[in-house]
Amino acid sequence: MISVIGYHTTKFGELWNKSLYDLVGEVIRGVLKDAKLEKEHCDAIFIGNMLGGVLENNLHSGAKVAEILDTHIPVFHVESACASGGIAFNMAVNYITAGKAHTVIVVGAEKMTDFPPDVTISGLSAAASGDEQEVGLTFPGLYAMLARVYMETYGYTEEDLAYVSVKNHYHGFLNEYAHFRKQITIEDVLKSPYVASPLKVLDSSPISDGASALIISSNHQLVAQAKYVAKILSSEVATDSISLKSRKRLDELLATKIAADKAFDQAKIDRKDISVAELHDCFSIAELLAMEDLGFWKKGTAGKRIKEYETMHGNGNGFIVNTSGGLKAAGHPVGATGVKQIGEVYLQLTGRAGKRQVKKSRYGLAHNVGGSGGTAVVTILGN
Amino acid sequence: MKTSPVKVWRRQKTLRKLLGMKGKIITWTVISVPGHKHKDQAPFPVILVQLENKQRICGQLVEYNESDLTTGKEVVSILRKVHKPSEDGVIAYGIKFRPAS
Repeated sequence: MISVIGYHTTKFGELWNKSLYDLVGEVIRGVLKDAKLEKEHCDAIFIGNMLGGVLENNLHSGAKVAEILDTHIPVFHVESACASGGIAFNMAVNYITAGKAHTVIVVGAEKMTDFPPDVTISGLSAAASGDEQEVGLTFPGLYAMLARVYMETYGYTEEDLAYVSVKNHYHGFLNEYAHFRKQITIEDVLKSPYVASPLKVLDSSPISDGASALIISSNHQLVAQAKYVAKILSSEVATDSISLKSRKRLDELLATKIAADKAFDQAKIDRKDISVAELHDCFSIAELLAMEDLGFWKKGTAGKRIKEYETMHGNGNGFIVNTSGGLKAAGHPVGATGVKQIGEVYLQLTGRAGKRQVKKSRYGLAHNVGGSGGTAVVTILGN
Repeated sequence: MKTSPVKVWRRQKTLRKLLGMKGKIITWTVISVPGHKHKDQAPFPVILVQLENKQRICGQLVEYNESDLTTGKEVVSILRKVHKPSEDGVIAYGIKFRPAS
């Protein structure tokens, strides 16, 4: 059994006084402190980052981390668009399972606000197909196309999507590390300008800087000594065609469905056992699709059920979604997101989530997506 | 993020096979916040089209009225400049669509 035994994150937001590797160094030092370990306890590091090479000619992260830590252990760079952090975690788990290590640091980091928005948007588009890039489709544009199919197929409106943002901004309001700590209303969402119709600014996650890190271990002694422990019950990955034009259905993300089925089979628990979930709400439509594709809600019903706010903190139905604020309010430094999601579930399961703590949380799920659904990773933790 | 002239040339070799084809809009959006190559064009509509031969492609819709932006609308593929020239001055042409009627 492999367990999470430490977590640290920076605040997400516009962190102009810190470089990418300032953030990486900060979270590595922070997570070692949280787990009460020294760097000598760790056998390897996996680092998820998407844009360092694209935006700032900043690659070979292994050697850069080695310099920061003054170490010679293996350091692996993982890139899988917005799923880079989740995939880094998955590979770290597999690395331990394969017997190559006992204790591994997983880092996710991204620096996005040093550049004009159109440059960062073009950089993110590297994760789309060449055809989609050439016609000017952005990621908001791709999700907008999915949103329109969903709305027209099941009879929903832009207002129905807005409930996701209102809920997640409330959770961000409770999270001191969130990019946005401001509550919003349905009217605020509907009045915000379009990014790619039908999606508006307040349907969309922001461009953020930030880094997060976890320590995972199969070392019985270290796990026994650790004060806060969550077991990794499963971490599963699935892929799909990168282009929307090649997908059979546009009202779902098939990679999410496949990864979720594998993860629940591996964890040997049911959907109803999950108390907290961090879902990949890069846009409001993405959380609705995820609730259905992960098997929590029946296909076509999420646009209606979200309006009951049954997954909002304080509503007491035993299943709360995106307590961190999600990508929407906590922020979306793309390489860091997948690690932060698992970190938030870990905080919840170990009773350290502060004002947003969900009581009696026993099982939690993290869902991280790359691109418009070309990659999905689902991780389930238990305590 | 530079555009290689060779990449433009390679992609354009297959374009003629897609010209003059009819299809229907499956889904669409209007991009208001574009990447830097399309910065001068915003806002612009992008549609995903199912052609009569069942092939699907995406492209911008041009020469349109607001009422043409509807799922199911018939469109026809045409050749247009797709984004601003590269630093080498190579103009990238590609498929766009206009309403069929």
